[in-house]
Amino acid sequence: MTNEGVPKGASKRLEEIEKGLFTSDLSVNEFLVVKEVGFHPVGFVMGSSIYHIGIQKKFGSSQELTKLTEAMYNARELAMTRMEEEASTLGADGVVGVRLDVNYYEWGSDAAEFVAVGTAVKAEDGKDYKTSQGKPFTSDLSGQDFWTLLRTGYVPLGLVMGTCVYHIAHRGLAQTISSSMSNVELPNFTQALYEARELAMTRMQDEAQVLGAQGIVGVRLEEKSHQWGSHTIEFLSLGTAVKRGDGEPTLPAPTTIISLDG
Amino acid sequence: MSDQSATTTVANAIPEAAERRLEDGLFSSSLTIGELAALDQLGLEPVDVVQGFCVMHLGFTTQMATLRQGMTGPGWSEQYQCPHGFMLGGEHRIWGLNFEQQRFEDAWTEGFEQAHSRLVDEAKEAGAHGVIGVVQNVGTREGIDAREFHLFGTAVRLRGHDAPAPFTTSLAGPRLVKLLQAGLSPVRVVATLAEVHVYAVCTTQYLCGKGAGLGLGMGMGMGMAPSAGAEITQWASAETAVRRLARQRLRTTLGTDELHNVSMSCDSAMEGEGDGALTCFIAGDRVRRVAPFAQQATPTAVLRLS
Repeated sequence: MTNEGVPKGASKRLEEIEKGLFTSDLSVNEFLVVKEVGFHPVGFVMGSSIYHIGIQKKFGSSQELTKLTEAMYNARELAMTRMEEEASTLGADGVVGVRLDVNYYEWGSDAAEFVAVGTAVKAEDGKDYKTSQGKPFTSDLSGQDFWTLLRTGYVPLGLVMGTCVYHIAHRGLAQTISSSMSNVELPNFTQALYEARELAMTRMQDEAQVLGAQGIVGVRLEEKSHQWGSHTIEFLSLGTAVKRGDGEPTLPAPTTIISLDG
Repeated sequence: MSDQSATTTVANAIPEAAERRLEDGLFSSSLTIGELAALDQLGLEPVDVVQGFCVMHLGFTTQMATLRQGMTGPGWSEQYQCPHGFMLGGEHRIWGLNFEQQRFEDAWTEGFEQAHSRLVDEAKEAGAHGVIGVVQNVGTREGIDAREFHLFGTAVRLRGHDAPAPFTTSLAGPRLVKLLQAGLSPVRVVATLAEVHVYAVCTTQYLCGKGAGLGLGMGMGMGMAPSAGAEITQWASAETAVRRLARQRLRTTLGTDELHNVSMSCDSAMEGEGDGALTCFIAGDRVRRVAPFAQQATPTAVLRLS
């Protein structure tokens, strides 16, 4: 095994795949449309990282918890990199249907497993679809969305993400009492939560710019408190960075239909 | 941004991170790929994901203070009298009241409008003509005694045109295409909330209480048949009123425009025997007719084999 971080068990599985057997978590319909657009699946790939997430002192004011942000970012990057390494081993051009999950186990209260899984695909026309860094592209698009994206003339570059772990301060007793009878905006909370979401989205866009992308599609903004309590929230922004491909758009004009199914 | 007032200048409400993000020249979109593909048909291009956000503290009031507002406030109300001829209350509620909680409704509207203004400001900053696929999330966050308003959508630009004040719509993709083909143009997303409180009269208290199912005690004294089914007229009236008030509130914002893609949801919370509050939330898309209705292409019938 030459790739750092990929376990021996995975190497054996990947060797079997290289002999011609392919595995995929695509549905039958997804498999058909991925084939139709000129790619074939070469294997189900994954990357994992079990990461110890430390603690960070929370101050009286709302602010970003940079240590936690860094930990969440690094752990996901490690999982993604390992998945990309598995795909590279298979000679894949990209990975579609990528899912990024975080799992917690009873045996490690401060540890979390970050897992990235997806289906590695290879272009049948022999063209190179890898990124400018020579890595396979990654995307969380479904098979159908992948087909539509390529038909509109775009190509995926990478699954990009931005994260921000933010501590929302508790309201002081004096503040609570002074506003208890009135309907007012809480500007500190508004700005804190607003800022946290914006930071997550900005970081996602920074990643896309590094890849030389022209845009990001399918952006999602997720919020999770994980195991930190309700006042510490991770804002995670995810999307697929894209750029215009060499070819012209070939998406057929849509036809208006009426379904006869009940 | 002032710590005291909710009516702050919205231009100052966009965080610095948003301004930097909107200036980087990269497009981002929260649309599905199918919706993105449909944009091409309309000559629109995505500019950026934009958002507007507001946290509102909705003040605490006692039941008596709320009741006083209901009796003296400007909103809708209706009184219920005890049918038994009692002159004094004591344990027996000799009157009841259904009333609109306008103070709460106004605060809710202010929070929503602030979030919408900030969404539009971000779109203006991005040089967009409109925001499509707007998602509204209104909720509470554990540990903060407040209501959050978060609007999120994709800013779009019409190729080769100057940008007027940006429109907002929850529609995107094929549904937006069909709206435009029908001669309607999106104006903005709208939403409102109506709240009606119920201060139960004696009969409502009885019917909402545990004794009603058994038909014992108080019910017998009130001349009601044991275990008989009976409409709780005070609550039924409140349910009707809260829906009507929400629709009226929304209608006043429409002018000569139309409302489409409407969703309505109602909720109720009991606060005592027969007492409680009802809320009705309505959201939709305000649209304007810009061309006469034209017959769409005849659809092709399909039968899926899967």
